[in-house]
Amino acid sequence: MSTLRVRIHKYLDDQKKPPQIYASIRSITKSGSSKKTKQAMREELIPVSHQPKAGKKIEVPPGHYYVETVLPSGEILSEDVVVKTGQTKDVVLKPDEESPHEWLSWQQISGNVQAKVVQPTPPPPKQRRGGGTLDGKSFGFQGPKRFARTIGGIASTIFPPPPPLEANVKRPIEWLRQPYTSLMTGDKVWEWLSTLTSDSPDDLIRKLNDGNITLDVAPAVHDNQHGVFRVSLSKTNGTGVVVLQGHPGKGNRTYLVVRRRSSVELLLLPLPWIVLGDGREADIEVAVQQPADPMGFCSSAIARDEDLGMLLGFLSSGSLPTARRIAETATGMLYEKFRNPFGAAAGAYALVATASEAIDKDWHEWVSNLKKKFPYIPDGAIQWGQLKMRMRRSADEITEAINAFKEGYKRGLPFYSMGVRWLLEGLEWASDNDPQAKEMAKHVRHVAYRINYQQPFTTVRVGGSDNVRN
Amino acid sequence: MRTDLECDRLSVLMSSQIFKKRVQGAATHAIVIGVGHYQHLPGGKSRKKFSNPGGMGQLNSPPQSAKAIARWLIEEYNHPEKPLASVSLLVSEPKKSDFTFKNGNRKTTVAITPANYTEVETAIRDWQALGNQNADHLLLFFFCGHGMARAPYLSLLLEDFGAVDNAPLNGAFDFGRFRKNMAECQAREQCYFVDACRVSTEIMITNDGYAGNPIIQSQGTVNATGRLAHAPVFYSTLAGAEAYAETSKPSLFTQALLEALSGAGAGDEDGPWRVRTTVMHDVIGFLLKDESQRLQLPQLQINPADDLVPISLNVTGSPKVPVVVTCQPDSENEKATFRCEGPGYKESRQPDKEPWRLRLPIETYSFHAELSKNKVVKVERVVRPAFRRISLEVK
Repeated sequence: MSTLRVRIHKYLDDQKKPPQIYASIRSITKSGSSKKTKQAMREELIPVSHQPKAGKKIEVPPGHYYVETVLPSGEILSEDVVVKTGQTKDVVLKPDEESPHEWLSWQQISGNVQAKVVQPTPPPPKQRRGGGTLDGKSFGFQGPKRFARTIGGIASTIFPPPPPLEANVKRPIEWLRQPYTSLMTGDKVWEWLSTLTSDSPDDLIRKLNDGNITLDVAPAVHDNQHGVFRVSLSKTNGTGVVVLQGHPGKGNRTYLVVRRRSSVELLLLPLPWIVLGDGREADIEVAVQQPADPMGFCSSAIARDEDLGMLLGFLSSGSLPTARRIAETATGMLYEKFRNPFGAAAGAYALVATASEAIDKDWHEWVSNLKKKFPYIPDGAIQWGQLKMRMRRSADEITEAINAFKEGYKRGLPFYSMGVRWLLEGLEWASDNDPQAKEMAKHVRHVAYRINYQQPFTTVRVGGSDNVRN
Repeated sequence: MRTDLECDRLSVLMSSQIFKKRVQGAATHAIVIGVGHYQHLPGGKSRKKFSNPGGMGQLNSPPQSAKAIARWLIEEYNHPEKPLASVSLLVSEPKKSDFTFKNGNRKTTVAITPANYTEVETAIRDWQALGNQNADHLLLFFFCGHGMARAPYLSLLLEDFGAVDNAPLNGAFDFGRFRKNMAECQAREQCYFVDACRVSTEIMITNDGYAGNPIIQSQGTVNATGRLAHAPVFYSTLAGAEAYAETSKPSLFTQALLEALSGAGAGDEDGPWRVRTTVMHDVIGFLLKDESQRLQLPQLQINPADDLVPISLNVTGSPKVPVVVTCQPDSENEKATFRCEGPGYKESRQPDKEPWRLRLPIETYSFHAELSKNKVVKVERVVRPAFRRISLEVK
């Protein structure tokens, strides 16, 4: 036999142990095709680490191998290697996209920070042709590049003057220590959030925190474009982590607020986030950066968890089958011990979304338990509704789905953005014959318009313009 | 299950169906819609213009995108278990044109049905009816044209959008509800491709959750197939964002989609090279990002997918793989002459700031960067889907 020592070469800040991502390892011919033998392809979890010794040793028959993986950010990495009998060969998959800073490495691998920002160079005014709108047939520039136009949208000026800054990345973000009751419990949150229409961040925060004083969370580190903020409920070993002391109150909900120019972003964070492997609490990291345009979101949140952090990244990038595989490797910790119910909810999204058979499975019980045992996590009820709606094997099952969606609504804001979308879809599906579901859907809709669907955790734009890029 | 008589009646009704082939058992049925001409938007042929166009006008890319997809399906698509049985094509363009494609050895020319609401509604209902004939059928849906969004809602605009000032969405349909209700269709595999801007508009804001007629309505049908519907949707861009095209070409998303379908989205772990939705998503993401950088777009075009699950699509003989060759550091590219050699293949490129972008058949190649007569960096690498980056380290 021979050995491949495989890793993804990437530095991750404050790494306790390397996170792992699935890679395919294919035995190939000289011409690049997979060998037509049994076990020509296998999938292995491989570490993300800048340290050569961290490489995972995988025993293989001698031959030519092609190793490929896709990061949560969507970057495809591949390498091929020939290994002879008894030989050990390193296979190092190197991302092309490097994080702008080591302290942004978790955000970057999750796809939240662009490694290279596209900076179009406007041609001098004399070189411009056409009106810069969709309408002109002569649309385009006489410049060094053939320019692309939009294919179905609104007229817009190309290279407009830079918009005013949306966020001050150095300014502390704020923890709502005593949020308004509606944010903490029950179904009032849907209706109440959509009544907050002010353009003043001060006014919005005052209402969200019921007039109480917020706690400033200072950036752990920042530059001129990005600020990174880290929080937990207990002391961790992370750098610059602010411990949110004092329980947030009824409902186990932790809200942070990021100020924008004329609105705020409200983040519902799943705290405490427990790492399955060693039971410690992981930091939740919020990054604040200027959006590419004023309609975009400023903030993104991740769990700095070596076991499940990558699952969250795949969930938000839409790579549900990959997220499912990671969840399946941790089923014991996730669903038998429920060591991290928030992580269990993340895995359940991938399981429900990728289910293929309309028959009862063992893992359905996990979703049911999430719904029953953790009423403060509305996601469990929504997932149960989605599962039953997708199966739809009988009229009773349809009724069960509708009831689960209603229960999810009554439990308040889900912790995951996918939950808001599923809840709205489910309630609208039930609306034709159910006035109560119709009314609920109406309220959810106004929050759903303002959710950042590119993030795993629920982030809502509150106040300001109705135009949201999500 | 439909009777033969009903099937025959269906085929007579389908004016938009440009391709039909009798297939025993499971089959693929596709509907392709491209709207470039909007009668009631500025530049449109109708004298009656919509009073609140919000900056929208005529488009020349969608007809080309739709025709390119339809042509590829008829001429190239090869699904051994679910062969192509029908393609419906609806295209709106300023001048009515025919559509020519190769059907085996002969050329076929057909008239194209316009993509107005009435025709699209009929075509979609017929397409759904075909899907209801067999749970093993695979349904493909492609739309290119104007889109308006207020996430999670998306309205796809048809040729007669804006015909009635106080009911402009009569000429549009609600994509989200349409797709949701299609879950009640018997066909368990459905793939949706939406190539449209998803910008927010005043119409979407004021109509608060109404994005047009869904065309297909929920019947509360019980699922007796024993399987769950798999219906991934591939969007060309994020909600609230624009999608791009180069003038007089299919859109960037359509080009990336065609490249993925032609083999860049394929794997050979189960035998022949077979395109799968999951690999397609990865490679389309790469291609759009790469094109965004090459064309210096004002923003990266990011292609999200909803409910992405693995669905096997066509089998392809010899995939072409996107390859990017670059020096490391990339500042050396402008000094390097690149060369690529493989069995029956030899190509080179003069120094340039940009990386060298290639499309290569699966094979082992040697890649060279010649920085001077005495300084040549060389590596030998296998090229296979989905994508290969070749970094030539200059020390």
